[in-house]
Amino acid sequence: MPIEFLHTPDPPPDLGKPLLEMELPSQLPEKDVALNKLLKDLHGRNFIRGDEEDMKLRLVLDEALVNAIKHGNKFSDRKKVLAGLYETPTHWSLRIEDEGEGFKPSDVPDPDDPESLLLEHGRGIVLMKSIMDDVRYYRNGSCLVLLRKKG
Amino acid sequence: MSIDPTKNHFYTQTAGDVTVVFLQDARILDETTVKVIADELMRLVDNTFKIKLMIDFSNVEYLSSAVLGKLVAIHKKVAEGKGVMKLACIKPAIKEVFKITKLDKVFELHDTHQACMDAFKQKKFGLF
Repeated sequence: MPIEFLHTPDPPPDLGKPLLEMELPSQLPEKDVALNKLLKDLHGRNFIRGDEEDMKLRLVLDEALVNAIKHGNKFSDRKKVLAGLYETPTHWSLRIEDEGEGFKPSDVPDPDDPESLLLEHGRGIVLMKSIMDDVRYYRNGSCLVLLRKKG
Repeated sequence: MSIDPTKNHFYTQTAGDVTVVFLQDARILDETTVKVIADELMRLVDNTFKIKLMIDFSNVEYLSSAVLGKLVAIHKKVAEGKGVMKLACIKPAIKEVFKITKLDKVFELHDTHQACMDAFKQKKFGLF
């Protein structure tokens, strides 16, 4: 069964109070700087705890930022990636937005298809869905929102 | 902290007919490093017919999904050369990532180095 996730042309809704927002160039070394800042902030707020959580969130953030830089903005000097962390009383969320054209949900490999097993790509959304509570794509896929319940 | 893509990311040892690769980086995240490691491993596989390859993950604490893709590519290359590849000493959190992506069904995973080595030694009994 194809993996289910929200994919809409609409812009994202209000995600709550902004805690950290940054803009980064579409270069992979910039990804590590942003990733470390976001992780440090998540730890500081006790949104994530322990080494295992750290490893999983690092994986999710890496996936989201690499996708935005590589597939979304295609490493363009003229395009930026916006990354932000937000909170409501019940949830925290990450928003990663690029200036690309998005993607079609049908381009995402079906994880249950045996042929997908031997593909070298296409595991990102499965991983993000299993680690976060929700994975939503807005603006045709160029704006990713990852949600997690607090506590 | 980024990883220096020019340093040695793994070393190899031969134990009988098994080639053992010990990955050295605790974090295999950035794309350049992933590519360097994968290219070197591909060369190793290319140069050894019917390779028996063990990749030891004892030192690895984090990896990105790009690593999973490269492991699949190496696995296919090994199979093309009629070789066998097994993975050893994968930390529980990383093992979970293999399970989530169903790659635990593609790769043979062993908890310890010795168990992996023993698995290579087991003879497959058959008519041929």
